[in-house]
Amino acid sequence: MKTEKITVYVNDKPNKLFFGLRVKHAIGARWTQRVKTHHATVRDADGNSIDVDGALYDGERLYLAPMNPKMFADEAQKRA
Amino acid sequence: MSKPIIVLIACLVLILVACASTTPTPVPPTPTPPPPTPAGPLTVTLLHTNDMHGYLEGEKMKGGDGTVFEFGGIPTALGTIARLRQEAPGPVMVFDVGDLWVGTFASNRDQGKTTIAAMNLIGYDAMTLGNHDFDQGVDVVKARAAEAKFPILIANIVEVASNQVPGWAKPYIVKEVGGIRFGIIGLGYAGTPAISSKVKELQVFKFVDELETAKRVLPEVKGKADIVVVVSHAGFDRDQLIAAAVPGIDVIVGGHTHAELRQPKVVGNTIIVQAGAKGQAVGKLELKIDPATKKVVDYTKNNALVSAVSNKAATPPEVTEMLTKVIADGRAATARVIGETQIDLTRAYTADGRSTGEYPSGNLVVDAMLWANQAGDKPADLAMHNNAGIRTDIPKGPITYGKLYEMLPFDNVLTAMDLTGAQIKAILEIAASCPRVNTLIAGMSFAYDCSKPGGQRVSKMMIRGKPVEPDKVYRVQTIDYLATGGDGQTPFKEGKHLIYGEPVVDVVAAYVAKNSPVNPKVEGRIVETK
Repeated sequence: MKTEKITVYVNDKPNKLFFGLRVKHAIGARWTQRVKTHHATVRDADGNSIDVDGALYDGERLYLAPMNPKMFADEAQKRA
Repeated sequence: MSKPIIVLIACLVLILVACASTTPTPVPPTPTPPPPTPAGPLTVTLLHTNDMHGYLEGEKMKGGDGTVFEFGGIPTALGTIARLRQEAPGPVMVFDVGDLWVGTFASNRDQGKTTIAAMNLIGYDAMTLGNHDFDQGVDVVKARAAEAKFPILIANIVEVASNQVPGWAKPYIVKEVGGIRFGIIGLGYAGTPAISSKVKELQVFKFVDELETAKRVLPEVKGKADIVVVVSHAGFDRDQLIAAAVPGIDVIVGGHTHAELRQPKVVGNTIIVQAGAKGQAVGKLELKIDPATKKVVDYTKNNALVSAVSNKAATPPEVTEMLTKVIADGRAATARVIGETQIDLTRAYTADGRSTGEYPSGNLVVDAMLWANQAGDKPADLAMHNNAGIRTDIPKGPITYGKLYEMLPFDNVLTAMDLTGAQIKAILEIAASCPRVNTLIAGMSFAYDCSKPGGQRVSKMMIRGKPVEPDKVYRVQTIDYLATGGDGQTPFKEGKHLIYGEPVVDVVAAYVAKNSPVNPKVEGRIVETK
């Protein structure tokens, strides 16, 4: 049984969480809902978009930013 | 000259001519043709999916031009693979990196059987297993492995009894594609037992560190292959560590962390890729390989992900049909009655309309949580849930899974932990924010007095009929949301010996089915004193 705490940085602010939790636990319910409805994005330090159900790792840096949801569908088509 | 002499001379001439015509005239040797110009690099395309989590349906969308389409989902992802295969300039290999079928009601019910069948039709080459692929037990994994027409690769899981990779899997394969031998190694998530709801069942396996396994297996694979691909559910962080510590891996196809790597990450000489999650993208990595040296000389540096949109996917009709049936069966199942309640499952409210304190629907949920017990864990002493997590009422009468899901829509999972009596009191003091009491409890009772200052309102705490002792350790069944300190409940973050369990809605459904008809009356677990 693992009870380690990991530290995840959300917009550079540290957040200690139990190992095994997910991105949505680190960013909170409000931001999770915004990401799910494409009103926001969550990205890692390399700028990669991260799904809210992704596993967290110690030292991970997540950056939240608002997004225009109207662009999402067109972006998906462009990248298809 | 006499006639005979003329004839003789003529014969001699004829003989000479004949000899000349039969004796090959020496000709200069044909010049050696120049060596053939070497063929250009061979392009082998790796297509990959990861963490599709049973998303049998994508998200309905409408583009600015009015195009209506589905974004993501397994059928669209598989159709995107089919299309990309057709478009590829050379040979193609297709991989999945695990966490494939657990995650939605319909897919959970199907236990991944139809998804594997669909992947067989699309033509996957190999797959590794993610932590959630074990959520329904080892027998389900074995059944899926038997049905798959591609190997399950997982070099870092061994049976404790034999110290060997289980018979239904392989550590690696070597596959020749376009004259190039590809060694494909599978790595599962070594931390699976720490976060799995099947912790006891998984004790038959030893989950070995991914990096340690990669170091051990690579030399053997290098001896048989020109190019090494690792299909890894270790997570993006671990993949980078593996790439840095284990030179000689050409590509790591990753998962677990749900990262969309539109540009591959290169660590040392290793190309790392990952395709997000939920079938929303298919990874497409083109490797240009020198046929002479059999080394990768170039690769996709941008646009290594292709969005899965239904209007551009080439999903075979039989794949659509089979997966649509699973969705339809799931919908029908949510409408089936699983039990009955003898009372209205309602909530109680403060004057300003916030749910508070003890009420029937809440008692049903925490009673179910207390009843459930993660395999391998000790029985819980009490269960705690927050009020805001219960979203609807269910009237007296039949209960369906669909109604339970509306009541508990947040996909919270059971989380057991040790807390001391003092920590439990701290939690209750935060809950007693007055006039609202934001906690639901089973296995315990307490009183609160809103006339007292915050932090001093809670009294008469009893667990299993005995007064709560501040230093005693209690096993508490709660939810992952509260374990993060949700609703301001920071004492939960100090819990120890966590074990994650099943989704709460599934636990409540099982409880209702087993204990129907249910009658979760208000019985004075939370009492206001004045």
